Amino acid sequence: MSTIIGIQLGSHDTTIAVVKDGQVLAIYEEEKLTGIKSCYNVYALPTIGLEKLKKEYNIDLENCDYVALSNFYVRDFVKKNAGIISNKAFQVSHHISHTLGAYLTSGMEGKVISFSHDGKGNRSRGKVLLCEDGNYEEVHTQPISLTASIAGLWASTTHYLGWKMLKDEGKVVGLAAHGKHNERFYNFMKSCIYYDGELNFKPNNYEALFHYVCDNVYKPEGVFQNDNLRADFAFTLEEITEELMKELFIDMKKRFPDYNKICLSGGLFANVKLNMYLNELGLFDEIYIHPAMSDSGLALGAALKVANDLGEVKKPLKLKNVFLGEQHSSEDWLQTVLSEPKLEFEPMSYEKVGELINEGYVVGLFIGRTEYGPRALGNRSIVVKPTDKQTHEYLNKKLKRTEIMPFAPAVLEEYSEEIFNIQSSKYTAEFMTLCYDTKKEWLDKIPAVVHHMDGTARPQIVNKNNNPSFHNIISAYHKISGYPVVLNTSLNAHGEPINNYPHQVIKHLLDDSIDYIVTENIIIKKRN
Amino acid sequence: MEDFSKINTNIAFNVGPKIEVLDNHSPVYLIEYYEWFNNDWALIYSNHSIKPFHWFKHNKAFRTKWRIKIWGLDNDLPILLTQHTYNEVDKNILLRFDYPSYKVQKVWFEKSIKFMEDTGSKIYVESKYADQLKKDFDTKIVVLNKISNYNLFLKLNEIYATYEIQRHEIQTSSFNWWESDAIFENHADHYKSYYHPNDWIKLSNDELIDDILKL
Repeated sequence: MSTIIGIQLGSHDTTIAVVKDGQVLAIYEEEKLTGIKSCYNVYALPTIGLEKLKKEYNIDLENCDYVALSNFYVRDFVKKNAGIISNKAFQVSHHISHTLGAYLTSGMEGKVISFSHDGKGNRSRGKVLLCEDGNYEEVHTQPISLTASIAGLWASTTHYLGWKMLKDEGKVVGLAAHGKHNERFYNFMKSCIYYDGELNFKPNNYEALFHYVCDNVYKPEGVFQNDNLRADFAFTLEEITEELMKELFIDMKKRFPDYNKICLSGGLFANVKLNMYLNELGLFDEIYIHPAMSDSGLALGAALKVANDLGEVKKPLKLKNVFLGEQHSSEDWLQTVLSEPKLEFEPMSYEKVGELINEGYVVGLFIGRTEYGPRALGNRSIVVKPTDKQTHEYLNKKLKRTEIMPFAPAVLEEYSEEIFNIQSSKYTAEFMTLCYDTKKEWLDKIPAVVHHMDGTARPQIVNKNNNPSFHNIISAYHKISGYPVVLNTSLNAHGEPINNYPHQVIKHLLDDSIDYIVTENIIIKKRN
Repeated sequence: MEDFSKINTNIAFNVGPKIEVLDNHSPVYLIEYYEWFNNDWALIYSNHSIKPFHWFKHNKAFRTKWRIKIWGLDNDLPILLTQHTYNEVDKNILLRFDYPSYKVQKVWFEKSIKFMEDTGSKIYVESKYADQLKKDFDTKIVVLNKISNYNLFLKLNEIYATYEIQRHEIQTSSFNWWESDAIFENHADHYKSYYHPNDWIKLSNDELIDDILKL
């Protein structure tokens, strides 16, 4: 059995992942380690990740068995390490890394389609794989120079709306819920992109057409400064996206009728509204979205591809959770807290955390290892009670954020179907990648985590075995309040990636962004 | 709808494809360069801020199969105004030979004759060995000494495409196993430079013309 280091090193989302003896051992995303969002730290080398890997597991490029590189843009890194890795490095294409990363972590048995789609990567915008029992066949690729990308339109729209590409696309999704259909925008977007009936989106000049009109017509008109038109633009993009993806899904189902399960990966599927729509189409019995659907998922995908080739991952693994990042010891925390006179602490108890949530405090959770992927799932989360309508505004102000998307609920699995309309694809919701409709009787009970416009929510389903500490915290709150749900948002301030270090979180405590920090052993607060 | 039927453009391929928009039906134009790749037209470059009576030229100077599209705005939607696909039949093509050895230029000239026959074009060759070539070859190719006013010559002779047949700049990087050391336009085919599609350091002098004209 082998130790394989997967490396994603591209213009964004630099990450390393380790698969050892057929199991996922650790994943380090450079943006969390540096504290700088990857869109501001382009072509970052995985320097800190490799240091952490050596320190925590004594694994490095020299003593590992294989290196799987998920991108072609790794020249400097390869040159620098040529003497060490040239005889054991494998190159895995961008979209093979995406599609296999999703399939080989889905736990899905039988016939499965794995589909990826994003802006671009290694001459492709996406791939279709037919998978069965750990084997796969690539049946289609979407060449960059000949096809269009829906994800590309989202990135461009993010830019025109004044936000940062590769970071703020979620805000466009949030904004869409405030808009309505606009015939003019609809006709324009329809003139820029269509489904070609051959598993591609076309035309290949979609971006040129999009920019041509946006820059020369809409921008001078002030469309992107007008609140209503901005929302309508976002809404229409979501509408077009769903239409196009529906056409593709219907076509895939027609071409591959024996395949009833599908895995999705690539930046497009960070769009939880789209994922909800695709799930509700009912064309596939089960949908699984890779927890790190964007390019940070490539490192694991590349490593799993090599492990699969070696016969060490013969069938899809089922991730119990994605707590695969860095861990800080109790001693680290004690030292940090003792060195800061403005802090005091008490022993951790779930009952106490439940009480704090119930009393309306903003509680930061810093437990175990950092999550892999864009979602905080209970280890680097901020939790708040979900029952107050004003929480969205209050929390945005306190955290100095500008979130448009409603905050998400984390719900005990045992109660998830009681609160949300969950018919299928429950496993993927453990990673907060899908939206569901909230049941009528719960809309007014948990307004802080439900979209007030359409009643949807993107719940994290918290399983007792896979995520025990978070389950215990929500259970404690449930016991006191009667609500098996908490509001869950990522533990970071505006513009930061999910926090990975004690000092980052303590800063938030000292500046009153949060009221408490909960670690495995202690509960910390600012001294009165 | 605006009448775009009279749009006036000038498209030529003299050391790179140049698009001139001699029209003001649209306040701004979108121009696109496509290249034949993988049995389809790959978009390799676009510019969406071309004003009326402006021109744009792409750097790629070797011979390749181009398609050029010019778009305008009609009711705030893009409308295709004109499209031109590279076609040498009955066109005037200028080949500018630049190499010190007559022996090499003679080989190039022989290949130019074949090129003329294969493409159905009319060939002009500029060479410092013009007199000797005229003496040695009985051909329809128009052989010229150094052209004194190049732009005027192109205009007067309605030259459709010009190719500079020579060994261009010295290659700086010789080998890269990740294949990313080339010009890689919009992820279509990749080339070694804007003058040579292939690694010309490995080519003999005789083969340079094959590379530039993709013979």
